[in-house]
Amino acid sequence: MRCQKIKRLIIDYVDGELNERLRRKINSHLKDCPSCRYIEQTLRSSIIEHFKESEMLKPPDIIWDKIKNNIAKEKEGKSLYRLINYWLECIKIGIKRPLLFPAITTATIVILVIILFLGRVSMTRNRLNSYIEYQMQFILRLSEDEKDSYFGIGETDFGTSIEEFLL
Amino acid sequence: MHTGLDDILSEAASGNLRAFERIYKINANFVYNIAFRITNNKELAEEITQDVFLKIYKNLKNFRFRASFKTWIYRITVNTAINTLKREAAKWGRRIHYEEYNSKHSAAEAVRERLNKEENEIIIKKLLSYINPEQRACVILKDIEGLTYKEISKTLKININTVRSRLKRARITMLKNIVNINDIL
Repeated sequence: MRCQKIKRLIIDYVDGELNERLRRKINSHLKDCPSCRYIEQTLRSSIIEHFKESEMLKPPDIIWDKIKNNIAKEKEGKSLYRLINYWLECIKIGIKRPLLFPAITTATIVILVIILFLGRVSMTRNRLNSYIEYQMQFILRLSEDEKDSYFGIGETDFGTSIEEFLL
Repeated sequence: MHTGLDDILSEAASGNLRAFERIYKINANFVYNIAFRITNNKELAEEITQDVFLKIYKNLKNFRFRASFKTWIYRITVNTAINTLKREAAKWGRRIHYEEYNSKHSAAEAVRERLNKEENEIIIKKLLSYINPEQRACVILKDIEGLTYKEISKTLKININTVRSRLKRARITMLKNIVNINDIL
C-alpha cells in the first residue's frame, strides 16, 4: 500500500472503523514506513489520547433544583389554565341557566375570599388549586344534573346521611 | 434497554418527579460534559443541561421506547448546545470564539510537557478551540463518549460520510495547529 492511500485511510484506521483486511495492510505498512508511523502516533498521542483522558466534570447541584422549580412552575401554570377554563364554563352556564346564576356568583365570591385570606394563611397553592378545581367541577356536575331535575336527587350524591335524610 | 430503566422512564413519563430525578442523576454528568466541551463555558453548560432535561421531561411521553434513550439524550444535548452557541453569536452580533485558556505556552509546547489533569484540560480546550461546533460535537462523541461513526450518524441524524469528513477535517485542523507540518495528510 502506498503512503498516499495510507494518509487517506489513517483517520478511519485510528478510529477503528476499517475492516480487518485493510487494517492488516495498514499495520504492515506502518511497521516499515517511519513517516506514516509518525502521523499515526502523533494523531493518537497529541489528539485522541487527550480526549480519552479527559476529566469527567460534575454539574453543580443547583441545576437539579432549577429544573425542579421550572417543572413545578409549569405544572402550576397548567392547573391555573384549567381553573380559568372551568370558571369560564361556569359563567357560560350561569348565562344559559339563570336559576344557577346565584349559586355560581356565590361560589365565585367564596373562591375569591379563600384565595385572598385562607390561601395566604394555611393552604399551599397546589392544594388550593385542587380545592377550587373540585368546586368548579361540582358546579358543572350540578348543571348537568339540572337537565333531569333541579336538585337531581338520586344522581347527585351528597355523600352524607343527614343530607340524604333531609332530602 | 434494561427493564429497570424502562420502568423508571414510564414512571417519569407519567409525571413522577422522583423517577425523573433518577433519570437526571444517571445522565446529568455526560450531558453537562458534552455541553461544556462544545461551549467551553460553564454558565452556558449549566443553562444547556437545564434546557436538555426540561425538554426530556416535556417529551418523555412521546419518546419511543424502541429507540435508545441515550442516543436521544445525546441528540438533544448536541443540538441544544449548538443552537445555544448560535443564539449567543446572534445576540452579540459576532461569532462566539471558543475561549482560549490563558496559557502562555503554545499547544505544541504544552503537548511536550509532562501531563497531569490540569494540563490535559488545557490541551483539550486548545484543541477544541481550533474546530467548529459541528466538528466539535463529532469529536466529543467519538473520542470522549466512545461512539462509533454509525452511532454518531444515528445520534446526530446525519450521513455516516458526513461524520467521517467532519472527523477527518477536525483532526487535520487540530494536527496542523500543533505540529509544524503543513502537508501531513
